[in-house]
Amino acid sequence: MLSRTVILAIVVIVILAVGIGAAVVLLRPAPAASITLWYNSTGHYGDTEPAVAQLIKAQIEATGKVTVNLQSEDWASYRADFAKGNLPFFLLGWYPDYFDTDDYVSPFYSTAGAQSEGAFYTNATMDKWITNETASVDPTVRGAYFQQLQTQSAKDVPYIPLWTTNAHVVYDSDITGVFLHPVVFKYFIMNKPGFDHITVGTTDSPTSFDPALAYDYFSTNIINQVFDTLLVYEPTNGTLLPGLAAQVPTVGNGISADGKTYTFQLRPGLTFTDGSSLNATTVKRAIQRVISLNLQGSAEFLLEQVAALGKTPTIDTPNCPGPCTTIVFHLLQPVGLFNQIMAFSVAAPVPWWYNQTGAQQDVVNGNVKVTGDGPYSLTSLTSNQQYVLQKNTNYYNPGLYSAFGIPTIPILSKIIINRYSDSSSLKLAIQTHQINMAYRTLNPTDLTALQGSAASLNLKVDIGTSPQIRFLVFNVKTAPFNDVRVRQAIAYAVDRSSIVSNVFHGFAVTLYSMVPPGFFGPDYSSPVFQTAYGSSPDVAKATSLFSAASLAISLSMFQTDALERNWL
Amino acid sequence: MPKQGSLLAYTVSRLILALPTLLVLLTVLFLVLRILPGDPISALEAGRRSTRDIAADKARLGLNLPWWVQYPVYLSQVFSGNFGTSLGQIYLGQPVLQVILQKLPATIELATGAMLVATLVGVGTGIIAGSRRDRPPDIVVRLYGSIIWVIPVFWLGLMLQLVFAVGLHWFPPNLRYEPDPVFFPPPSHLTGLYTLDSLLEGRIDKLAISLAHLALPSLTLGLVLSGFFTRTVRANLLRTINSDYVEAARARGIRERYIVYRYAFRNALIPVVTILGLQFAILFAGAVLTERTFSWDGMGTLLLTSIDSRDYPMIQGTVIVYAIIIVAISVVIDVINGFIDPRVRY
Amino acid sequence: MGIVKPAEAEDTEKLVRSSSSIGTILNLLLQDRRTLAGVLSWVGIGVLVSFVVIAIFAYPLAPYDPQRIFLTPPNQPPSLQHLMGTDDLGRDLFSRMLYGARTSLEIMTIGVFLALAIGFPIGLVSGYLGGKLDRVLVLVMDSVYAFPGLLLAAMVALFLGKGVFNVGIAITVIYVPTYFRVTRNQTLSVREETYVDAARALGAGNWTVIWSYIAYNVLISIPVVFSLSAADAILTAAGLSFLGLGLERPTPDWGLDLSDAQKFLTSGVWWSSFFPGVMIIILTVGLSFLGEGLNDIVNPLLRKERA
Repeated sequence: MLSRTVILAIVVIVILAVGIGAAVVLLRPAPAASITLWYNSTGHYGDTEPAVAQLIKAQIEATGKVTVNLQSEDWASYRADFAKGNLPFFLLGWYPDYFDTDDYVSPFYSTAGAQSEGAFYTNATMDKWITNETASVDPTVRGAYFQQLQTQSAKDVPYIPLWTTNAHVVYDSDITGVFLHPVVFKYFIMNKPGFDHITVGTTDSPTSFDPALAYDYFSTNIINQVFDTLLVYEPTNGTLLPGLAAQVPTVGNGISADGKTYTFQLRPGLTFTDGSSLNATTVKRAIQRVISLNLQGSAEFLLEQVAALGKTPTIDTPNCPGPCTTIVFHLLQPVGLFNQIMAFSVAAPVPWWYNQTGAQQDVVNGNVKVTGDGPYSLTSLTSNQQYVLQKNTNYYNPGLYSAFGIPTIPILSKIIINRYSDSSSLKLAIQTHQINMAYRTLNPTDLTALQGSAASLNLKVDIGTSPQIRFLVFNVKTAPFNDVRVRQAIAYAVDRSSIVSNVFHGFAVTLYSMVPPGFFGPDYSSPVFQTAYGSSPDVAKATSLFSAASLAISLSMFQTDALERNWL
Repeated sequence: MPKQGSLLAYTVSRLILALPTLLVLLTVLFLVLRILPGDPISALEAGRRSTRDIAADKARLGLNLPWWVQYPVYLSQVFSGNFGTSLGQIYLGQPVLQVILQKLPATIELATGAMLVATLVGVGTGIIAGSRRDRPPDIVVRLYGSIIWVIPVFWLGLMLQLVFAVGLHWFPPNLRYEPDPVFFPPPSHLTGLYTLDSLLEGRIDKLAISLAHLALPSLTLGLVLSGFFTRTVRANLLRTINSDYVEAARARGIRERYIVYRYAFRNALIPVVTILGLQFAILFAGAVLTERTFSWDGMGTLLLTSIDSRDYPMIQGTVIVYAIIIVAISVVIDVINGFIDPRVRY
Repeated sequence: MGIVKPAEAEDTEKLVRSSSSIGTILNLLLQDRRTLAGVLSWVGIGVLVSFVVIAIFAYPLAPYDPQRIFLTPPNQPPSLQHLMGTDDLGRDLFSRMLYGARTSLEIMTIGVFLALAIGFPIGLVSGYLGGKLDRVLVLVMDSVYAFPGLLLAAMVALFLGKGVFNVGIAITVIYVPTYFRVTRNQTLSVREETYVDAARALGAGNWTVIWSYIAYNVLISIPVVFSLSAADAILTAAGLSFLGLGLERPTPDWGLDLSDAQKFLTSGVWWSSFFPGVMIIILTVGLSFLGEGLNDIVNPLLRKERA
C-alpha cells in the first residue's frame, strides 16, 4: 500500500494543477486593441443572431488590427441600453410600419430618429433633406432627395446595412391563397378544400390587440384580420385599395393642393361585429383616442402631423348628424404618405365603447373584448397560447378582392393560431402535422430540411422577399466609433455574402442601402454601400483605415471589460 | 420549540417557522429583481422610435423610487394577496395572480406526472438493486441511477421527441393539448388540469389526448428525477435488510423475497417521504427546462417570458408562488414525518 | 436532527479516532479498490484527472483554434479532418470540446470552492456556537436551500451578467446552503464529544476548539458533497446556458454549444449536439461515481451518528 505521504502528494499535485490551469486562463492579458459588438440573445430576431455576431467578429478580426468581443443581452436590457447610448456597436433590425421609403430614412438619419436607434447621429443637411422629402408627394422630387440622403449615409456610416431576411411560410400543400404580402399576411384569402378551418403555428407573441397600443408584427397582423382601415392593400402587393372608405384620395380628389387636407368618404351603413355603428364620428373618436391616450410603446407618433401631443386634432365631420360619411383631416404639415398611415393598424376605427382612458384590455372577466369590423373576429384568446379567428358573417365587403379572382372573403370559417416557444418546436409541429401552417419563424437549417422533405411530407415551402432590414449601428458619440475611419474600416471588412450563405443558407439577400430594393423605385434604394465599399470585403483598405485611426482604438481599450477574455 | 411536542404543537411550530422562511425568500428575491438592468417600459418600446419619456413612465409605476420605499409597499402588497398587474408585453394590464392561476394547473399536471414516473421507476429500480446487492442487476441499476440524473433535461426531452414523436409517431411532440379545437375540443375549464377535467366531463377520448400530450414531458422530467429515488430506496432497503428485526425474521426462517417486500420495503419507504420534500425543489427547476422544450404553457414558461420582458410584478408573483408552494410542501412533509416517526418532533 | 444519542457515542468515538484526517479517506479508497465503491471512486478520479489534463493542455491537444471558422459549408459531419465534425458556423467541434473542458472546470472550481469556502466556516461557527445566530442562519440557509436552485441561479446570473466568473458566483449561491447544512449537522454531532468537552475543560477557547478539534473531523463528510455538488454545478451551468443566461459566445462551452446546436438536431445534424452532451455526461458521471463511491466508503463510519 502506498504511504499516506505519497497519497497526499498526489492530492496536492492535482489541486495545484487545477489552480494553475485556472490561473493561466484567467490571468491571460487583455488584447491590445479591442471593440465590443453587442447582439440580442433572446430570439428577438430569430435564433440566427449569435451566429451572425460570431461571423462579423471573425470578419473584422481578419484585418489583424482589432479583436472583437461579443456581448449579448436579453431584449429588454438591449433596448434600454442602446437607447441610453450604452451600446457603442450593435446589431439591429427594422420592420416598416407603413409602406413608404420614408420609413427607412427618417427613423435613422433624422436627429430625433437616430437618437432612438442608439446611433446619436446628427447632420443638419440630412435633417433638411428629410423634412423636404416628407412634405413632397412628387416622386421625382423625392427620388432626388433620396439619392442625396443615401450617398451621404454611405460617407458618414452611422449604420451599415447588411441583409434583408426572406419571409417564409410552410403549409399543407392543399392550402391555397397563401401570399407573403409585404405588409399584411392575409389569412382571410386562404382556403383548404374540404376543411372549414386551418391551424397555424408561430413563435411570435403579441403585445395587445388594441390599435392604439399594438406596435409589433404579430399583433398588428392580427389586427389587420379583425379590423379594417380606411384604406387596405391589394392581395399580393402594397398598392392601396378603398377599405372602409369608398375611394382612395388623390390630389385634387380628396387631397388638397397644399397636401395638408385629406378628405375620406366612408361607405354607408358600416357596423362593428357587435352591431354598433361605424361612421365619421366613430373614426374621428378613434383617431383622437390614439392621440390623447398616447400609450407607451404605441405607434401614436405616426399621427404626429394630425395633432401635436396633448392637442385636439382638427378633424371635420361635415355631414354629421345625417349620413355622417365624410371625414376631413387638417394636417399640421403636408404628409405625402398620409394614405399609407391611414392603412396602418394604428388608424383602425374602434367601437365607441372602447376604453377612452387607457388601452382596451383584450380579455375582461374571461370575455374577449376585441371588437372590429374586419373579415374575421377574434373569438377566443388564451394569452401566449392560442388565438382563434372566426368568420365575420356580416362582413361589409366580401367582394373586396373580386377583381383579383377571389369572389368572397373570408373563405375559411376559422383560423386557429397556436404559439410555440421556439423554432425547433414549431418545426416539429409542422413536420408531424400537428398544425397546417408554420408562419414565423423557422431557422434556415430547418427550412432547408423542410424544403428537402416537403414533397414526402405533403408540405409547401414559400420563400418571399421581406421588407425587414438588418444592419449594424454605431453610436457615433463614443470612441472609437466617433472616428468615421473606424466605421468605414468596418464597412470595408464586413462580408455580407458570407453571412447570407453561412448563416442563412441563402434565405436572405445582401443589402447595400437602408432602403431595401425591389419595393420602390431604383432612385430610392440605390446600393450606395456597394458603390462606396465594393461588394466583397476589402481587408487591405479596412486594415489601412484601422491603422490610420490607431490612436482612437488604443484609447478605447480602457473602456472594454477587462474580465472579458479573448479566446484567440 | 416544545420539548415534548404533540403532533398539533409540532404542526403549529412548523407553520410558524414557515412564515420567516417565506419572508427571507421574498426579501432575497426583491433585492435581486430590483437591481437588475433593463426595465419593462423600454421593453414595451419593442425596437421602435422612442417618442416617450421613459423616465416619466417609470415614475408613474414607482420603479424610480429607492428600494427602501418600494420594499414595504411590495411586502404589504404580497401579504394582502395583491400581486399587482403585469407590466410585460404579453400580459400587459392583467392581474398577476389571475395569470399565474391560469398557468399553475399546467405545472401541477406536469409535476404530478413526473413524480409518478419518478416514483414508479425509482422505487422499482431501487428494489431490484437493493435486494440483489453487488450482483449484476444492482450494478446496472446503480449505473442507471448515476447516469440518468446527469443527463441535461432539455437534451433528454429532445431525444424523446425525436424518437417517440418524429420517429415512431406514438406521442405528439409538444403542447398540452391538440392545437386544433375544432376537431379536438379541449375539456371544459374546471380545474385547469386537462386530465381531471376530461374525467369530470366523462370523456375518455379527451382524457386519452391529454395523457398522450402529458406522456413525453412527464417521462423526461420523471426519468431525470428517478435517479434520486433509485439511490434512496436502494440505500434504505440495504439498511433495513441488515437491521435487527429483519435478521430476526430471517432467523425465523421466513423466505428472503418475502422479507424484502413485507418487512424491509415498507420500512425503506418511510425515509423516501422525507426526500420527497427536497425533490420538489429539483422538480420545479427541472420543470422550467422541460416546459421550454415541450412548449408546455405553465409557470416555468411564464417565468422565462417575464424575465425576458423584465416584468417585475410577474416575476415576483411567479417566484412568490413557487416559494409558497415549496414552503407549504415542506410543512406538509414534515408533519407527515412527525406523524410517522414521533422522534422527529423533538 | 443530528443530535447524538448516548448509546451511539462509542461508535462515534471510533469514527473520530479513525477519521482523524482526510488521508483516511484515501487509505480507505486504496483498501476498498476491489469493491464496487472503490472501483466507482477510482473511475471517478480517473475521469476528473483526465479532464483536468485536457483542460490544462487544451492548446497543444486541440488540432485547431476553437474560434477558427472554416469556410467550407458549415455543419460538416465527423471526418478525419474534423474528428467530431464542425458546428453551424464551421468551427472544429473537437477543438471546442477540449477547450470546453477548461470552461466547465473553471465554473465548477469557482462555484464549488467558493461555496465550500463560505458554507464550511459559517456552518462550523453556527453549529458550534448555536443560539440566536445559529437559528437565523439556519432559517436563511434553509429558505434558500428549499428554493429551486436553477431558478435562483438564473436570477443571480441575470443580475450579474454573463461570463465564467459570474456563472461561478451564481452557482456558489446555490451550494452555500448545502455546505452549510452538512457542516453544521456534523458539527452538532461532534461538539458533544467527550474529547471536545475535555478540551473545553482544559481551558481551550472557542476558536481553538472549532479549528483544532471540530473542523478536522467534520471535513470527512465534505469530499462526498463536493463531488456531487460539482457534478450538479456543471449541469446547472448547462441549464443556465440553455436559458441564455450563462456564458458569452464564442466561449467554447459544452452547455452553450449544446443549446446552440440542438435546434439543428431535427434536421439530421446530430454531431454538434451529441458530443457536447456526451462530454457533460462523462464528466458529471465521473464526479457522481466519485461521490457515490466515497459515500459508500465513508458512510459506514458516519451512518450511526447521522440521524
